Amino acid sequence: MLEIDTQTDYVAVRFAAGLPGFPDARDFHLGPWGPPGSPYLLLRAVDNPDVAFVVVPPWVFYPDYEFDLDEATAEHLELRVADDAIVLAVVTLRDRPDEATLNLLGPIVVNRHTHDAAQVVLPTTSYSVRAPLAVAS
Amino acid sequence: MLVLTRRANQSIMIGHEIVVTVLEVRGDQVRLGIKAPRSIDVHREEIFAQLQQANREAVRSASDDPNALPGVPRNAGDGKR
Repeated sequence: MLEIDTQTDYVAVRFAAGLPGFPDARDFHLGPWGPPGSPYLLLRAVDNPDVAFVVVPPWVFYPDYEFDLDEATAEHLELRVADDAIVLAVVTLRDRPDEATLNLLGPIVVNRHTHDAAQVVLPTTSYSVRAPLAVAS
Repeated sequence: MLVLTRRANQSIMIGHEIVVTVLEVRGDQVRLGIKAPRSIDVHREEIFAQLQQANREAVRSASDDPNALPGVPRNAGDGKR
């Protein structure tokens, strides 16, 4: 994972293009979320604390999850090899924890070295924007 | 809406930096090539709309109590492959 600053408990990441639905939110802090040992992270917009996403490495729930990153995104994020990338999926919490869903169609990709990030769209896959978490586990 | 007619291998410029090129026209499908700077994301509209909607739902839900987090599978690793 990214090195989280132990002083501040977060790492700064930048979405040069914003995120779909939140085009003006570019600078985020990514930090741990939930009880100790939780795989969840919180991605919170620096300028607007109301814009916050719970995210999680998708492989926690979907070990076989995979995709090919398009060349343009790899170039924009200056990713040379797969290991340069950290991949996170956005979680949508619902009334009951077992109704929560994971966005596998639009994963967040972060360059672990530069902390440049983008939410990518995987148009050629059949992954869902609302993949169940409960069924996966 | 501005309407332009283009043939295969012809382009249009949007501003100074975005180039949209018609690569191929076949039946009722058109293949487009798009060159844009890094601050501009390019998406299929219907998929972008899905993502916008999903992100808005996710943000609304994220302010909830962290105890509402779903449990993780027992064999879960750190998500690295």
